[in-house]
Amino acid sequence: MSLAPSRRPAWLNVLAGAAFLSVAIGAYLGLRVSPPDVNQGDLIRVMYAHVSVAWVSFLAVGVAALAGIAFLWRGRSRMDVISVAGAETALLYGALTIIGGMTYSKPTLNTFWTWDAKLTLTALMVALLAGVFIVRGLIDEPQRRGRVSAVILIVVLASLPLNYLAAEWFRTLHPAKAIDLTGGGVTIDGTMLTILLYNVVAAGLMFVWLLVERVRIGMREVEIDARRVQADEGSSEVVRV
Amino acid sequence: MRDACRPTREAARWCVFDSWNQWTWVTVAWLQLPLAFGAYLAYLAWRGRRAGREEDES
Repeated sequence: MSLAPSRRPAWLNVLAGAAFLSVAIGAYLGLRVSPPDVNQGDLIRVMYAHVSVAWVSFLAVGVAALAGIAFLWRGRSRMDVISVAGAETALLYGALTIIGGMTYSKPTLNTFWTWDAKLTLTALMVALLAGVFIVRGLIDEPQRRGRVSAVILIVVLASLPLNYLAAEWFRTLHPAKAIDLTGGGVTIDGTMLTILLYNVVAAGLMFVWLLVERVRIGMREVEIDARRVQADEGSSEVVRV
Repeated sequence: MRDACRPTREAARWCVFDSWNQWTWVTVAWLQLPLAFGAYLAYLAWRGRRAGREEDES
């Protein structure tokens, strides 16, 4: 059986370099080029870090859940590996969203946290993503493990529209959306919008790299496990003979 | 300084952030990214090394 390559392919190194460079440029744009906000002053620079990782956390949940659905459909271990990789990165970006949001909220709204719908749904998303790994640790059988975690990820995916709209539907300290995809238009300065979108792309590129790297390692682990099972079956047959 | 932040033991616990200026918050917010990505990359490197060891053993 041929193992997934243990050496990192050259294109992955290029992707890693592009991800690091784009995040560094995004930081430069957010910290140096962006004008201060008329109300928030320099605190607006926190927004670029917070909003970009928040959007990418939604993307990561989408990737994890769709791969989970594909696993439920076809049962291929590759889909489970992609689903887990997506869930891991979603957990990373989700945790960054919450911590970044607290860092933004304290100086602007004078509180780190409030249990309103938007924040609670985001905390629930992160808790469910952490739950995926707790549950996976409790189940030995790979197919069952993949099915259970896929179902949890579908629940997380189903909560995302509610999370997105929670700032409009419920009373919340969370500011209204500056870019409203439900028809509210764009209420942010053009330069700030460009820098924000650039940072979203940079965080997305970093996500793609981390996902691919994690999938590569996950596939190696699956193949090592398969080899081990094969070897165990071989040795037990020898004993039987 | 808020009244609640007069120099008492309680204030030392809850009002430490009152002395932070805007750029301190901005720095802390942005530093979270390299710290989190760095930690995750260290985790991936550890997992990759472990897979390599197991590959050698099998």
